[in-house]
Amino acid sequence: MTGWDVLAQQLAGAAQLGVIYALIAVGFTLYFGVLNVIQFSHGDIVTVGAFAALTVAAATGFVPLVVVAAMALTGLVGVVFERAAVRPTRASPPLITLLATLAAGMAIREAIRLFYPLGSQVHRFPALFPPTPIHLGGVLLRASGLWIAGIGLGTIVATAVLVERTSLGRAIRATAQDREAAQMMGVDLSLVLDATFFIASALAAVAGILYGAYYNTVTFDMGIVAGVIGFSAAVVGGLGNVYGAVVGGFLFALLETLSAAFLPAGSENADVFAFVIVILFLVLRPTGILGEKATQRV
Amino acid sequence: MRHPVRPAASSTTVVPGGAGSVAQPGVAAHPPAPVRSPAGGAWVELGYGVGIIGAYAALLAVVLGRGGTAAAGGAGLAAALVLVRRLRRAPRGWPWVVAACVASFPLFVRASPYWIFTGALSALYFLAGLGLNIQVGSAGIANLAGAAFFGSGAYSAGLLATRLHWPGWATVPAGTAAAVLIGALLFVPVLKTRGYYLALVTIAFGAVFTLLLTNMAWDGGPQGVKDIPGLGPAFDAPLRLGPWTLHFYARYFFLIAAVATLGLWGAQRLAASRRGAHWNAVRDDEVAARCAGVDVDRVMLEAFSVGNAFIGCAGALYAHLVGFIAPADFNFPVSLVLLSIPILGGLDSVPGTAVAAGLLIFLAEKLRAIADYRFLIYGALVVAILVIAPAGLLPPRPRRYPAGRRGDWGPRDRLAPPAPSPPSAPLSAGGSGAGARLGIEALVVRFGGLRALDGVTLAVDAGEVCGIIGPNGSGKTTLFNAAVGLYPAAAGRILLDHRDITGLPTHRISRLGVARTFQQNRVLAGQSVLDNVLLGRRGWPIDEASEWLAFFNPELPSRLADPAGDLPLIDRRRLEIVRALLAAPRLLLLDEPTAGLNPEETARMVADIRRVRTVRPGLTIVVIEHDMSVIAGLCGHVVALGDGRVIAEGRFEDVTRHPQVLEAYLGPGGAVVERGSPA
Amino acid sequence: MRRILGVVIVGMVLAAVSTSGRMVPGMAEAAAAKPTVKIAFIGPLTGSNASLGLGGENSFKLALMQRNEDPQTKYRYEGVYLDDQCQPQAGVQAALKAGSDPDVIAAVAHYCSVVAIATVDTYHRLGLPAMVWGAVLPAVTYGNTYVEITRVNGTQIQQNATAARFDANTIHRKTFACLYDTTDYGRGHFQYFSEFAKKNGLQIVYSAGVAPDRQDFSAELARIKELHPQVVWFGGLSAEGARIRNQMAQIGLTALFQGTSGIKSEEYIKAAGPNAEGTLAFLEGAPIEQLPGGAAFLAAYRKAGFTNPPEAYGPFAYVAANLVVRAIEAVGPDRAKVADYLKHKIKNVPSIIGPVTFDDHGQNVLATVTPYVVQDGTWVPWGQSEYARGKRTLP
Repeated sequence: MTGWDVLAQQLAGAAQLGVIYALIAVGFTLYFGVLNVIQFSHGDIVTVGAFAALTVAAATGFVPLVVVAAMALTGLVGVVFERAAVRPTRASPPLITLLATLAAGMAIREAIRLFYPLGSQVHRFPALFPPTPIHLGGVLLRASGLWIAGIGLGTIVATAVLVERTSLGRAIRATAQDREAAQMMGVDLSLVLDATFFIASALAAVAGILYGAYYNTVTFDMGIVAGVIGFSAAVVGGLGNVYGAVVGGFLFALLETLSAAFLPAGSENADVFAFVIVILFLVLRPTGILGEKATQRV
Repeated sequence: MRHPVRPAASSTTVVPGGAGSVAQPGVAAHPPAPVRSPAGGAWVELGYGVGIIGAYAALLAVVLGRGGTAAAGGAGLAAALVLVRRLRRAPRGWPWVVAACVASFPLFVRASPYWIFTGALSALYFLAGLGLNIQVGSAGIANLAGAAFFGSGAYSAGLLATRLHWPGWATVPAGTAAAVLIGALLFVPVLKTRGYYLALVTIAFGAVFTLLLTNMAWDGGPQGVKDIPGLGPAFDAPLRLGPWTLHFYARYFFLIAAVATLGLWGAQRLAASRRGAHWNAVRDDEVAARCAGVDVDRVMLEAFSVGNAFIGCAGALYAHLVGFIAPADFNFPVSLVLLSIPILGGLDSVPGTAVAAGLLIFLAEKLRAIADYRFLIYGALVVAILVIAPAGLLPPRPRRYPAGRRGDWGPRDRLAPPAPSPPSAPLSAGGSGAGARLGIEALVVRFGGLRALDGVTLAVDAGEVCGIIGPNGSGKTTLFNAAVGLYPAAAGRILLDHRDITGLPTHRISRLGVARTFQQNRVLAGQSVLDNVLLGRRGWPIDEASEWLAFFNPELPSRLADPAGDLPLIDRRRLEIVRALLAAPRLLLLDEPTAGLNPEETARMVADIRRVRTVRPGLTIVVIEHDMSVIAGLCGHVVALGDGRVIAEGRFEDVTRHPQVLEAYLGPGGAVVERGSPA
Repeated sequence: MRRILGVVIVGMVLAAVSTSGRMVPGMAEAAAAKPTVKIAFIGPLTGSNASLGLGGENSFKLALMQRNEDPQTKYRYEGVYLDDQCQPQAGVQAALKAGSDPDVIAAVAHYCSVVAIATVDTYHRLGLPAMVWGAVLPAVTYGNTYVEITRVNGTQIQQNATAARFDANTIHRKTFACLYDTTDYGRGHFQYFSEFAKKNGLQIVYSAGVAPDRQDFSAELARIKELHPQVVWFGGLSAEGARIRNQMAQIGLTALFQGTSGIKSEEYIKAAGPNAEGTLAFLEGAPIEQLPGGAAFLAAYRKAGFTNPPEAYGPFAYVAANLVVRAIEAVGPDRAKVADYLKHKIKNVPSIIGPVTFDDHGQNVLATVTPYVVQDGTWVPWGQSEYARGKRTLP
């Protein structure tokens, strides 16, 4: 393998990861953009999605059914999550909501560990997509990798269409822009809350499935890392900006992969670099790469 | 965030008894006094004492594993919490009761070093919780890296003790200082980011902290620091107290409880002081605080550092107590546990912190028995508490004030309302009364591509009352915001007398004698009337505050301790003016002082401002108004703005007839109506 | 109030530093006549190492069950099960809780090294004999001289000495790429493996530490692929091990995969699936199936109906429980005597992990280390595998 092949191999990995991160980041950005909520346990919803898919896949090998069923199940879990932990605390300071989501996420994680058969162990994720090797020069790709990237991108595009083109999407966008005005114009806030959580959680389910397909394994605590990375990607892209989340997802995957591969002691400290970049973005450019600079008015 | 000009909805608020809207001197309408009245206090205090002892019995019963007593005591705990939540003020003597409970704890569990250790640990968490409470509760600095500062203190103490063999009395202060220094790394984010963003910065910082601890070799790496010696030679021997011999952990328990008590005392004093009021003001309304002369940056860094000192001190003691530290002890879940202490107890509530620290640690230990389901139950429980009681178990009480001796601010005595002084009485406050000249030269303010102010030049002489009129969006409020330094000037100068104040920070401008009110009322709704009006002052000039409040409404001095948000709009507007006047201004900027008031109230407000002129004849006043009757009644000199420029200037009658002004307000051919339209 | 607080503070400080104390007399004598004796089991029962902790807990339970069924024993044994969460502070609290109960005579404690290091002082202070059943860091026994501390399993030193010798002499590999998690476990293993690798003339061409919750290793593996090492060595636990093995397959890295005791679990095989075939790992103890009682242990474990497998260190917990019971039967339920017995009288005692002998530090020195290889979805001792007989070849 030449140096260029190594780089290309890294990029191929980063592209698949980027799609997964982007899917998770879009969830974070929906919560924040529409509802001004940080759902810090979105990663645990990703875990729910993966385990839902695992369960359905044990019964049927028909991949579209697995995906749809996992999305529906996870979406419902998201709505329950919102009604239990987010809605009742929305009137309180943001920190209370943040803490409530964190605690609820812990409860979800533990519930999976306790009530899923052998929940504390690593589970092998079924090969939903064929791992047929594809050789491009010195680079080895897999058909499953193309599936992962394709399904991920397709889901993101579908979400964008849903938000931009449908009446539900219009209600969501109106709420995001000005909640009071939207309510005065007859937008049902309760419905928007439910819908946002359903959509974001269904996206998380797709992310969970792709995650499982990429790593071949899932664990009850995989959501912690997935959540932190997806969230960081959302921040780097600009919280509240869907396209920013996508860009952030890819950028973050690239950053992580390249720093682990090419920086001295980069493997150990890959997360350190990632977090320092998040801090710099939050402080110096809180609106992210794509966001506009906001002026605080009095 | 741009607020459209709209009459405040609360202008129609009906005040019980009709007081407030038309205040009549001499008619004393006392607000209903709930439980806080001293009468009937005896049984309440008795009940309180019984409640605390009941709670304590519950704790002991739980610890000692007695089911029936635990249930009875739990009921006592619940009763005590309910009772205390209803009280505005803790009854006298509570420190004795609490101290007796704490001090006797090791005697009850003397057979078990485990419970003594757990007691010491919960005292440590209480100390750290106090620090987080100052940051998160009092000053609104979302710190989700509590464990990192806890770890800073612990690692500093641990490394100094093991590598350099420093004694315990030196490592603990060093650990405290180290936490403050490491906290200084976050000074820039603390100043530049707010709310969620700051929370996220601290989460990332905490992650970096543990990662670096793990990845660096010199600090012991993932294996941590072991064999940390005790605090001193005496701390390794059992403790004999009369007939009892206690495990040596009891020594740590007493020492840590003493430090925590000291911390409690300090935190109480800080919370009751002007500094505490500033922390709250910064948390609730940064702009109002800046305009009242509060150095927001300094106040925030102080709160952050003081909080870190508490947390670091707890961390240093932790290192000596446990004798071993590793990065795993200071990761994000630990930060969450620390943060949940002030949040569950009630943000900004010092006693709440104590209750939560005890409950959290002992509960977690009791849950250890059901190992497997522990975190599930813990997570569900936290969500339940946050949903049921978002204000916490013991929400904060309003700050209490000293009476009598000025400068003595110990929270000992109740506030005795001073006798309302007649409006004609000479006002002791308000500075010399000499006004300042305001000069604005070719001022330009830009928002992105928009020129909100486009070369405004005007001058207001000392002692003059100047009115500024103009349609919405003409730049009136922007002019004020630029004058007090909230908006940067892209070009031009702002002069106070002959001093150039362009580019000075807002609190400096305020301290030079520029005070203002806001179109959208900015009283701190959750804080007391007195806290609001004293925002720009040092010490407790309660008499001056009362005089000025009475000057506007004779009833206000009796409501000094009430939350300002409970007052009707006109009184909240008066509060802002009193806050401005108490800062001894030379230039007073009033931004639509009658917005949202009814015609009767408007007339009173105009009369009051004129009376201010009579007692402070030299004071320069600039008024923004839509209501032309107000301008006509107050101002000799009027400036009309349109699209960020001065379109007319001069006497009221001339300016309001100026064709350009008419056009700006009503389009071509219009006429100004007497009562301007608040759009 | 200030005065009151002042008095309280001064009083507490005085109480804390007063020097009138003297040592507490031995705490356990009072419990001598009781027919029931408690033994604590401490391990990670929650969190990401829960699987190993539960395997240990079940094996410990099984040992007590078997001893209680034996009419010859003088006492009835009762287990006290405590979770150390793999967290030092939680471990110290668990140790204190066990030690504070005078009926608890001994503890079988800890899978995580960082917890064991944190708690050895606590056991010493409380005079509670503790036998470590899973932590492998040498310092747990060699970092102190406490009579209370013994360890039935081997250390990283023993594991890696065997592993490096095996690599050099048995399977004749020369070049290694090493990944290890940045916890005490992974780092420690890498330290000793590289030490013994040098002694055996092995060459480490690449090494990198990775955070234990790291998911993606494609960056490191792509670098490794470029260097063509014969072996990818990993110091860490099953979850990461399986992820690395799967990602190796994904990018077509065909080197031999070799791990430490941390991946010698059914969990690893399940998670790595077909990729697990041909993976090497090293574990202290002789292969239990071959030893007298080993097969019986496995059968009894299955019969007891535990859902969680015993995992790699379950047999060690089982042996530790039996040794502690043996000590109590011999000298009675007295902590000091039990500690002394365990430290000094355990010489060449047969067990399902082979004979146990404690050295001056309480370390089991006879812990032989057995190489295992995955063959058709199970861990097979190297000597009995088709790989050793040449029927199959390692990658």
